[in-house]
Amino acid sequence: MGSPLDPKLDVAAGAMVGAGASFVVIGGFAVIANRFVRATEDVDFLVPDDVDNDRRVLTALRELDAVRQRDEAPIRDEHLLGQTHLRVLTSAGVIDVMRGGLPPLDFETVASEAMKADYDGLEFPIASLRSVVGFKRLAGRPQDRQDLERLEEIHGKLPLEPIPGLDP
Amino acid sequence: MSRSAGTMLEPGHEAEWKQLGAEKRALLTPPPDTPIGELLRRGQHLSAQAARLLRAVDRGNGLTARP
Repeated sequence: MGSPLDPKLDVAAGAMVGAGASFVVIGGFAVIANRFVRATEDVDFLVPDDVDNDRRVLTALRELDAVRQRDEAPIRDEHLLGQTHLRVLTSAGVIDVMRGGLPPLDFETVASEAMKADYDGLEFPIASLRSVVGFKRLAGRPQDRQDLERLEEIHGKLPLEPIPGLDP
Repeated sequence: MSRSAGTMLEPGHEAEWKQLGAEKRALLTPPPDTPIGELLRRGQHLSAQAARLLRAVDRGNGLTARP
C-alpha cells in the first residue's frame, strides 16, 4: 500500500488539466525529464499570475483533497490568491504551487519553451533544460547546485540566460 | 487576466527558498525507525515515477519510447 506522501505526477497534473488550469511542471520532476534521474518526492507547478487561473488551480487541488501543509487546513481561496507560493498535502502527494517570475523565468517564457509529457494521452508541459537551469541558478541551494553539476555532465555546457538582478 | 501576486522567482528570496527546502526535507525525510521494507517500497515508487516520466517525455516530444 502506498504512503499518502508518495508523489503521483500524472494524478496531480491530470487534475490540473481537468480543471483547465495553465501550469508547467518544474522542480525535481523537470530535472528528471531533462535526463538526470534522481529521487524527487514532491510535485512542483509553476503558474501564471492570473486570478482566474488561480481559481482553476484551486479546483484541481480540491479535487485532490488538498490541505495546506502549514496547518493542514482545507484550502481556501486566499491560500493561493495573492500569494507567491502554496504548499499542500494531497492525494497525489506534496504539491508546491509557485508563481511565475521575471523573464526569462516568467510563466509565459517557461511555458513557451516547455517540453511535453504524454501519459497515454494525458499531455502536459514540463520545463525545458534552459528553464530548469534558470530556476536552479536562482534558488542556489546545495541540491540545486548538485543538479546543475549533474545536468552539465549529461548535456555538456548548459544554456545560460541572464537573470535580472543575478547576472551583470 | 487580472494579476494579484508577487513572485519568489527573482533575486532576493534566498532565505525563503532555504526555508522552503528545509521544511520540505523535514516533511519528507523518513523517520530513522522506518522499516526497511517501507524504505524499499518508497524507493521503488520513486524509481517507477521517474521511468514513467522519461517515457512520457519521449512520447510527448516524438522520440522513441525507451524500454
